[in-house]
Amino acid sequence: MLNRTQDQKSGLFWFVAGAVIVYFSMEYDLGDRHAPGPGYIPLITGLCMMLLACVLVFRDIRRERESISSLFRSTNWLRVTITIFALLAYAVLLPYTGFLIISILLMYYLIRAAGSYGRGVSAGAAILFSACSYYVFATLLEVPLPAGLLYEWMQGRFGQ
Amino acid sequence: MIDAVVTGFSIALLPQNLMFCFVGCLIGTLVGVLPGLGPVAAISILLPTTFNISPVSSIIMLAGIYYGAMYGGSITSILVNMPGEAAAVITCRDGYQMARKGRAGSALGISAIGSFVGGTVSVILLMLVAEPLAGVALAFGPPEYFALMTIGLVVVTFLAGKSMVKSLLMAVAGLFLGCIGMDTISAQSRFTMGFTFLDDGLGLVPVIMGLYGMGEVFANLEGNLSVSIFETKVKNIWPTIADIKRSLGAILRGTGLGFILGILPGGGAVLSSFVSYGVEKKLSKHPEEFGQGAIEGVAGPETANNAATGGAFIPLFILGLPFNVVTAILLGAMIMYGLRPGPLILATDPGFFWGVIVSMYVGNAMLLVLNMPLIGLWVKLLKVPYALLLPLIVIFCIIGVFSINLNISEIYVMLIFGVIGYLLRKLDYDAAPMILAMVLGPMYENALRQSLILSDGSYHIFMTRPISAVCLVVAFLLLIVPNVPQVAFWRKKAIVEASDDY
Repeated sequence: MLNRTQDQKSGLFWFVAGAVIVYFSMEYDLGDRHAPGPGYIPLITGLCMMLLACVLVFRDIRRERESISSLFRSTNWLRVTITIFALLAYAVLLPYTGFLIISILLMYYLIRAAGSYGRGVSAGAAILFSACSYYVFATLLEVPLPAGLLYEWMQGRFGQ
Repeated sequence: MIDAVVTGFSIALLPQNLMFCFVGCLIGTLVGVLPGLGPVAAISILLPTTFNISPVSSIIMLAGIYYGAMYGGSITSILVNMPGEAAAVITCRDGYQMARKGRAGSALGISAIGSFVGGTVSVILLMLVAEPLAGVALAFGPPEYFALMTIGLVVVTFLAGKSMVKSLLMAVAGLFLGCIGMDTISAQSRFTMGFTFLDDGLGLVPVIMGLYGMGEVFANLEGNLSVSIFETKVKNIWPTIADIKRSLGAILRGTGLGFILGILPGGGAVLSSFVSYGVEKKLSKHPEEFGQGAIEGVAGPETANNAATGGAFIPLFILGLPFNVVTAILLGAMIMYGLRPGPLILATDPGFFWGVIVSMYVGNAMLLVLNMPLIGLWVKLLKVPYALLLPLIVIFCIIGVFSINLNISEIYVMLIFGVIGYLLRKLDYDAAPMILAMVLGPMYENALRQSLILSDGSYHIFMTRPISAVCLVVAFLLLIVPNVPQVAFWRKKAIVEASDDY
């Protein structure tokens, strides 16, 4: 079975990406060379991408092979993947919980994931950093960070 | 002109303007130091806070953030191999190597001196040549702009990364990313997938923060983070006589290059730092030292990116055209303040124009006087354990991205580009050509389409105009030359050596 190298695999990705760009560029008016339309440049970039991807793949075939898996061998995939999902969850929950609550949770996770601090220190640092960030940006600089539906509900329930 | 400069000083030296200049420089250095939070985000975040102060004070502060960040960006590049902002990317190559060899102080010192010289001389040049250059630039048409941007992109791909094919792929991908959004000629939305926030184009800030800020975070999370962010002691921040002798040429060349490239569309701080690095490497008697801690590799780019900030104000003030993201934000701010940048600004608002220009001279002096002694403070900031700094970087990136359009969708964009940036690192792609191409993309497309409309569809227009023809021939040669076997061998040797530890 062909053991594709990293450049071959990434080249194949770029080829497919270029083909997709070319395909969708066709949906826009290409115009003509006298008056190029909105699809003209994307079409050219897609074609260039496919051409360069071919160069990358064929050039790499002649080279010493390095398995793509070797690049990821020492990777702590679990930590990276969980962090990506944690950030995704942050973006999803931000409008509901508001900046402060979700930031404390995210920071707690990140401090725990990145360091060897205990729960108490991590929680303290997470609360301190989040509160300071909120104070500087939302209070001093008046950046309207999301207050969250929870805050709005509580204000409606108990604020009066 | 002397009267105008005196007027400028009388405005720039007003106590409130000195204070705003100082605040701008300090914030600029701070955001330059903190990875993931660059001048674009900082200016965007602070813009709403300037509505209650005078226009001249506002622009003085915002401009201070811009050139202050150029200086601050080098600190993280040198100490932690993480560019504080895009223009300091290239400084990582030799600055970090110098730090690893225990010469962080010299690297920071020469960076500060170069930044001061570049920034100051560029302001003086700006005063001298603003009007004549405006006349010349006005004569440029779309073919010239297209050719200048082409050569800018080719130079970046020529210099960046181990593989030119990969760099070209990055540039092409960047051009495509620049196409996303509403077409400026037909007003048709392209590749927005129905997301209205993409109608204005893919935000540069989320993309940069994703590729560099979040990409760096993911890359660091995969390894062992028990080590502290910086382990070398910073001492002797004043470079030795030998260091200054070695750097003098690089500083002078960086000043000229930075200023000229700063004026050109798409040039600015990022391109000038890359071009300066390439020039220094080519002119050096010891090119093999580049990437291993050559002080010229720090002095040249750091001088050039500061000199470029001065140059970048010429088109902004004289033509009313922003040629990079920061000046685009400044233009928006000026319009909000009721000012009309353009050739008439010298007649209608001379106090504003000369006050801001002279404040940049004052600001550069402030940066040198304040930051040389403050290097220790910035270093202390960076000595915070990475496990604690990392969540702060993430939160600054999130706030920075969100605050620009107050849109959570931008956080998703940043996250997507964070994953892309992480994978690009793993697969040995350099993201710099992608970012530059993305910034230039819309201008590049417009210039090409307008040129073809002008020439009635004939591509000969690019070769019948001298400036355009020369630029395109040079760009073509830069594309072809690396494939000449002997040159390919030289380029591979030089770039691989320079990038091995990057």
